[in-house]
Amino acid sequence: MTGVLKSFLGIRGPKGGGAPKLHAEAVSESPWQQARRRFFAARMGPWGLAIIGTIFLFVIIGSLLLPFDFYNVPIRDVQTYTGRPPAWGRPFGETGMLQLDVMMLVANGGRTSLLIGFATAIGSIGIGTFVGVISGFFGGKVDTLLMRLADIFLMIPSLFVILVLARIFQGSGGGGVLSLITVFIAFGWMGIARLVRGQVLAVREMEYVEAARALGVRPIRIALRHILPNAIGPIVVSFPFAVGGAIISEAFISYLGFGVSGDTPTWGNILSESTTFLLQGNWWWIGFPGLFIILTALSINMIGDALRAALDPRGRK
Amino acid sequence: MLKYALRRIGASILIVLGTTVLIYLLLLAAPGGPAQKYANNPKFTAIQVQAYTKALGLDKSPIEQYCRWLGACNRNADLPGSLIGPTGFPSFLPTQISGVDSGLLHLDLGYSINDGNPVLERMTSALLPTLILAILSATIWLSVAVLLGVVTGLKNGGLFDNSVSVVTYVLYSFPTFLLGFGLIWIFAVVLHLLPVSGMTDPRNMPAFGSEAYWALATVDPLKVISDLGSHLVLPVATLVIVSIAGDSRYVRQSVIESMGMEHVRTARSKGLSERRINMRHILRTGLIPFATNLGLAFPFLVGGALVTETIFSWPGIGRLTLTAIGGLDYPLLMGILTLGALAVAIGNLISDLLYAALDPRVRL
Repeated sequence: MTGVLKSFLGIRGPKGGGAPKLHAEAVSESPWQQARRRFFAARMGPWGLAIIGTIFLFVIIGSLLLPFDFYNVPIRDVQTYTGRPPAWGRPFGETGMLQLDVMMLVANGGRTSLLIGFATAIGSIGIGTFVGVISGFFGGKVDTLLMRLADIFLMIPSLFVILVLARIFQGSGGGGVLSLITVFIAFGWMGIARLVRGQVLAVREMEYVEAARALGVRPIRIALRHILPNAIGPIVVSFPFAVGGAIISEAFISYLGFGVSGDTPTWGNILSESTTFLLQGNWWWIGFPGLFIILTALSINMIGDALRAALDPRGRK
Repeated sequence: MLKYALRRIGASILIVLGTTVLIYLLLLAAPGGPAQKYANNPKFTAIQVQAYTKALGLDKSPIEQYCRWLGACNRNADLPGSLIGPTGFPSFLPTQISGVDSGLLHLDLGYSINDGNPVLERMTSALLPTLILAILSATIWLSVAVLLGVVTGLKNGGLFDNSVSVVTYVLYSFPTFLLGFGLIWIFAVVLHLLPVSGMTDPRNMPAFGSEAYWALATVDPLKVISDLGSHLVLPVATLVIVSIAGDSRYVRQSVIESMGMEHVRTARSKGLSERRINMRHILRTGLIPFATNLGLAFPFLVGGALVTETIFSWPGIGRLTLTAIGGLDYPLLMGILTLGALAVAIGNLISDLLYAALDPRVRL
């Protein structure tokens, strides 16, 4: 009887079939438990978490353990002007010119890079969600106005404009982490706003929302408690991709010298002088920060795809 | 269809104009300005700053500045009189009628404030290198991406598909500039096979685009082509690898989706050969999304690959953009960004029209 019921409900019994066990517990999962199970069932999810976790540990603990003598550059031998290769005591080698320890730069730069990545993701997704909910919930003129604004922002070649703005902020004495994050957020909210608006439109007219409205629930509470939870899937999925995108953009912009100024190391600006030395054989200066950027991007993509597998309602298993 | 196309073209023109207004506002609102770079120069007196601002027309209202840039205002008068050209006709009409020859509408984008050359001239001289690089790499990457996507899609789950998927997945996470450096290090620094950067060998070749270069091209075309070819390999490889990773995954996905469609099942139950089903029923539907996406590659053809051109010192639009940003060359920036917006609009237009033409479900 239990077996019939279970198969009717779509809950599978233990593997290998056989007679249903007595006292078998009725398995039921909350949506979050289900999502968590599917996140870990996709092998990419745990691996991505492991890689990014290691990077986090290295960046946070490593930057505390390693000496950070950015302003205290000893006078070095002219012979080793191009930097010394990796060896015991300096596992990532040394940069050319100032001959700083690359491991120290990577650890300290990673802190800023990850900060920029996460702050940008939180900011742009926060604003995008807000705009999307407002737009979808109120509809009408508000909706038209906000979505046309999003269209125009999408038309602007964003990398160009981000570079221009970063350069202008730099010229006016900024050159800081905050101004770069602001620019990234200003050009990062449109996609998520459209996505959330679509989700809100899809659930706005459903019966349970109507029921809440009939009970006299205030519009803000309807939007926050009844509509937003239904749009949470795409929001969560887009988070890791936003983090990765911001880290890579920062790396390139700071590498060009338009981003964060040199006295705050990031994974981008520690590379800014490295290309000339690459031609003289100094591969470790670009190689190790580059490896960290690539591993971060890769693990973040893996987490994002596992989240998509876990939260995409079309793929419910 | 024609009516739809005309309406879309009209909308695109309006959107491009709207975007230029927005960019203008953005540059106006940003701190600094063209006179900013002389602000800390002790030899630049207040009178000189005044003269400089006046010469550039920066003392006019923002609306008039934009109107002049657009060419709807006459440079020699103030609003509202400047809306009428010297011949008495509205200024936005062609030069032959209105007598006005400045502004975007009269194909004049002003002069670079850093070197004084016409903006349009600098942009056209950078366009050829960009087109060479972009067309070559787009051809290779699009054909390889389609081929790879179709093969892995049709045989999905196989060994080939799995290995290609892993490789493209990893490459997809590679930032373009790091991939470029990796290629430079391997092929130029370690193996000494290819030149590091640039478009011509500065030791025994004249610069690209110079008269001597074209003269040499007619005398010794083989030398010119082999030199250009060896400089093209690494940037093209960078662009191709980076773009294939995303596009082949996209094609694979849409091929797999179309394999499960009902018309494919019908074809199979009719007893058609697998080959015919693959070619006529799966690929035709599976490649529609990709074909419509082709339009989105258009901005890249004109705007150039900013990142790749920068790494390889390719003298194209992308690098010109960076020069303009570095020197805060406002007229040049306006010109390039307008070209960028125009390219995005044309790309979207192509993609919409292709979609309407290819997808039989869309009736207009």
